[in-house]
Amino acid sequence: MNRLIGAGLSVAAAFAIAGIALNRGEPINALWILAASVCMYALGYRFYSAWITAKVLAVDATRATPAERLENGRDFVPTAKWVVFGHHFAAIAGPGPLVGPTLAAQFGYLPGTLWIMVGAVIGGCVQDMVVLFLSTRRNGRTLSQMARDELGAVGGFAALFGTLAIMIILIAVLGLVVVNAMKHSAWASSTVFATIPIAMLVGLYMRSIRPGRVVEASALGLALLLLAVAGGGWIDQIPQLRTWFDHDGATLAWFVMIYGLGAAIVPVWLLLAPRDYLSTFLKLGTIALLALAILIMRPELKMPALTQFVDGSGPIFSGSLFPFLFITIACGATSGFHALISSGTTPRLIRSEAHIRLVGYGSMMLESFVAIMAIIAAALLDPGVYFAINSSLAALGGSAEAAIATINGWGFPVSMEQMDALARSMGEHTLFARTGGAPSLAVGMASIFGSAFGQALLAIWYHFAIMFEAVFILTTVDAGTRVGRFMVQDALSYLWKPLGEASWYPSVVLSSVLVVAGWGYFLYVGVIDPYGGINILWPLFGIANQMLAGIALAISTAILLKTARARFAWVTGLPLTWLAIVTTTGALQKMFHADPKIGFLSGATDLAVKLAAGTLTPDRVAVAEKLIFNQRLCAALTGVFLCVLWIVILDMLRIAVSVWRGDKEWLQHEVPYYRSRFVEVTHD
Amino acid sequence: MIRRLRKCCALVLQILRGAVASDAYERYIEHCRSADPAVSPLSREQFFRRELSARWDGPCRCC
Repeated sequence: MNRLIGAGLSVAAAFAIAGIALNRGEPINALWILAASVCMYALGYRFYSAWITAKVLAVDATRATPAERLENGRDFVPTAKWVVFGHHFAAIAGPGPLVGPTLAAQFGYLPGTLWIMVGAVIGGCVQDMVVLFLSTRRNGRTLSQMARDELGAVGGFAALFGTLAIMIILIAVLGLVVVNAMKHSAWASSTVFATIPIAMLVGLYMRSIRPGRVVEASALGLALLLLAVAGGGWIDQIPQLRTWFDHDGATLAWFVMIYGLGAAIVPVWLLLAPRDYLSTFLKLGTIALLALAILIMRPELKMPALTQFVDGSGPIFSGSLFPFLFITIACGATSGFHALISSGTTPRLIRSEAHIRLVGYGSMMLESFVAIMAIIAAALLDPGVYFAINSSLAALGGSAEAAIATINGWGFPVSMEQMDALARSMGEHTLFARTGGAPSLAVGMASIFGSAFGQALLAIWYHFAIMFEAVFILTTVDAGTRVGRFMVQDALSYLWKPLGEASWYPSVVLSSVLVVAGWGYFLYVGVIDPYGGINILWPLFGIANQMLAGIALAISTAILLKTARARFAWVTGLPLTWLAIVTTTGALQKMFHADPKIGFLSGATDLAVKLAAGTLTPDRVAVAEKLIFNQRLCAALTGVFLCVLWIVILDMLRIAVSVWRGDKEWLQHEVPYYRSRFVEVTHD
Repeated sequence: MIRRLRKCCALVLQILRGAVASDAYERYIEHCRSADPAVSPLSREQFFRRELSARWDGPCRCC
């Protein structure tokens, strides 16, 4: 029976992928992509993940998990399978898989789609599941703790540094996405601002009026959020109110920084917790709605399978398909950040090792599916419209008219009237150069929702989508700032003990300011960049994320090598090799590439030469010094990321060589076997 | 058919419950009852104030 299902799935997957590949030159329906991805995931889950859990990890359902052995009713709690799945998926699914694929659609829909499917099934899902398993066998220890135990102090420090670095870059780039979505849009800004008092109201309700009633309070909050979306349209119509919310990028960046600082300092129940509940419900609801709408609408993809920009001349970000596709789409294919969730919180809820496959591999499959939907939403736009929204004006000739001419010159028809009509129907004044991916995704989602559930509400759908993205980006901003704060406090405690106390207010403020200053600086770097900033920050984030994935896979490979099943270490070694190749190539190109649009250093030199020659426009002269410094700083940071990755990989190879020579008995730090009390109960 | 639909709904509810940990207090009470019945557990309000904020101490929201 299993073989029959497998054969059926393989045939279906092959058929759907062939359908995508052979349908060149004519528009293809999004259903083909959905079908291909679902079949791939089903195959990966049914066979590959089952084989890994049985043969490589030797998952043992009779073994007591830390949730059972260390149960304390708070963080160690044996929890039902699907409840843990919900917890884990809500934790790993963020805005990354929505933004990355949107940007990578500049190569056409095919490369991104294939990488998301293959990268997830062989890389991302495996990483999440293996790390979850290893942490479960080690009392839910975190990634950096495991690195210290299994690799040594150097590996441990590298993992810790990687965690903090990615947090800073992640928050900066996500902040930039929100800022770009709100720039000079009173409707979007007022809606996003309104989410703050709404979250506080929900927080007060849960604390004082009906303590701990999450669902009830969230339902109230969601209703208010929808009102805020509609209310934003009303504010947009009134000129006096409008000016209050019509801001440029730099001002909005300051707002985001002040918000992030405030959210990290005030008690969790007031802002962070309620916003997190709202964003989780909103996220799960919108993803389900989007899947349903795509099924109802069955849109045709207008983007070609491959565009001419695979050569590296793309307007949204520069760099050729290899390696930049694999850096631009991190979340959705392989995301190192997930290893932080898979170690730490989730393993403390796992009731039986038998659940690890669904929670680890299954959640990532769903996340990858979200990325597939994002690429569909980008590819169903007219390519001309897609490039007009996502490219900065500087990359297209400096003005809207020049942009239209440039895009038409590439062979993608688009007209001024079309862009104006589209902006009007979305309730915006312009959609040109709305970089960052959020506005383009919102237009895509609005068209999907609009044609599935009624065209009349396009502007509402657009701003609903913007609000949806902003809410969970801001959740990542405040949750990330808080975690960063703890890490900084931890580090500061080595300098002076009292600074490590989590509840000592001066230390809380100091460490929060340090974290916000860290990401705030990079956010500012992005905002003042004439090319929109995403072209600098997103690759940096991608490299950081893949670096962390490399670290997680290297730790996993080292542990597998120490076990009796070392011959299967290729399961994590293979994705590690690929990630090491793309991250190293990408990082080297970002640092040293001769094209000033790709290489940070040549970009800085190019600007310095132009500044000296006096060929820059006055507004560019004003920021040129800063831009030159920023480019060099980004080059240095990329170099540090690369070094950290290779330190961990070499550490892993040191263990590999020693295991191969057999000159030392390597300890691995698994907790000994205890028989689970649940064994008779657990049948699944 | 109806049974399958009901099962499906129960599954979705479980996923949602996990996503926001809305049953954290119930699980805590269950634990207290089985661990040491002599110790009186925190009230819902106290539990929410003291324990829930710890959920956001580690990396909990991803990219």
